[in-house]
Amino acid sequence: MDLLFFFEWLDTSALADISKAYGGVFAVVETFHTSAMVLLGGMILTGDLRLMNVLMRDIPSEVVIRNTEKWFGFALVVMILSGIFMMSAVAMKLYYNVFFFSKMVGLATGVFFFYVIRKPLLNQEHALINPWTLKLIGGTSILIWLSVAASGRWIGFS
Amino acid sequence: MNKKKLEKIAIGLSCAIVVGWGIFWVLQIIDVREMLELAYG
Repeated sequence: MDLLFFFEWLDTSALADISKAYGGVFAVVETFHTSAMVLLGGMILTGDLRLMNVLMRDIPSEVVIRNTEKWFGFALVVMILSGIFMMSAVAMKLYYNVFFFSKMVGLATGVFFFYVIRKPLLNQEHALINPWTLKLIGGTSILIWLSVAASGRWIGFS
Repeated sequence: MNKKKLEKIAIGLSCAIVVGWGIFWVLQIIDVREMLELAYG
């Protein structure tokens, strides 16, 4: 499916008029985007490293996961909304950038893995789950989100 | 969904992602080595 029509629409939208014309607004939105990214990364690392039994071993993993999941959702919403605004400023450039699509695929994989696999599985008592399964899920989740971050940085160098 | 079934799906998907990630980075390293060989012999 060719998404060119969407990028062309975004490039000429009112959102693009604002993001292209007002550097200050773009900078503020980018600050929210970066902060949300830091929060999301922090929640992922905290939750997954707890699942891997690396940190906060004295706190039950159910407590850590429940708290980090809540803030993950908040950070994801802020990140996506601010990301769409930032995207509108360079929509056509991003359409021709393979690493942008690699980042989007990574993001979709991460969100799918989080809400369809990780969250439903971790809703039960963790003692009922094989510890190696917990470690595998934690490690995989970290790998997915590291790939998203790496693709995001790669956009700037391509 | 049955929790045991979900656990099996999680293990299968995680293994696939980890292996795919490994293959991607091995290919990247091969690419970089070839590029360095072309550039510096």
